[in-house]
Amino acid sequence: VTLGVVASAMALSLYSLLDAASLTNRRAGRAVLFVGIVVLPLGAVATGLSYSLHRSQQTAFCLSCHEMAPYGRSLWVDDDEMLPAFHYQRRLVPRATACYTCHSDYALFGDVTTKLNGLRHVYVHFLGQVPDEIKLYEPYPNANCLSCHDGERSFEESSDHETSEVTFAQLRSGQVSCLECHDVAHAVDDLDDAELWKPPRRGL
Amino acid sequence: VTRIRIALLLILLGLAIEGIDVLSVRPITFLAFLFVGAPLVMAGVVIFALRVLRTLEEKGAL
Repeated sequence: VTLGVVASAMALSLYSLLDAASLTNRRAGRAVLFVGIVVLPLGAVATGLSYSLHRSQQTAFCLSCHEMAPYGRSLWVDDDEMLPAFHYQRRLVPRATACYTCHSDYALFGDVTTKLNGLRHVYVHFLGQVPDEIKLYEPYPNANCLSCHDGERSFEESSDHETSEVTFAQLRSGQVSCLECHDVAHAVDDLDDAELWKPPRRGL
Repeated sequence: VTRIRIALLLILLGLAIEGIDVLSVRPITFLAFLFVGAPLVMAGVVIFALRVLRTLEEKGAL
């Protein structure tokens, strides 16, 4: 749809450009100019922005920068202890938007913050110095885990979440990080020796 | 007519950049659309709008 709107806008703009002198002299021509210069181009920009913002949430978009390649590879490691691999391979997160699902905050301005951080990443990629070790800006928030797991049966029924050392209340308040126990994330330094899961069927 | 042609050229250029972005899934094309393509289209629309306002003013319609 977006491509169609852009193509229509371009076609009408091109027609208007070639025939501008004649169009300005006719009432109907001026209407064509208005549509070709204002309505369709603005519509194309609006749909294009919406489409591009939506698409920037896709895993393929994040992994298109080579710095992210090891993180993409880590999603296929054959090790249930690795949180991203466990979630990705079992489709506990949508595969098409796996990075965004776990790494965008679920707070009021979470989407905006994530987009602004994305702009910063692109700036560093093209104009800055990519750090040797890529780290999160802030400790991983429990809220991101709990947005799916809070109220979920296996989380609620797990005796490990209500012990003498940790309580549900502490997890919900963020006093105790989920990563204190679930502490293997992407582990990109160990990927060389890691075995990857190969789906038995194609198209998974 | 010259102003309108300039506006149309800017719009066409901006839309071409948008078209490349729509066909590609890369951060660089998205940024090019966001910071170059979209502003070019907006600039074209503004130039056209100013021209229309000027014409209406000259004709005493405003």
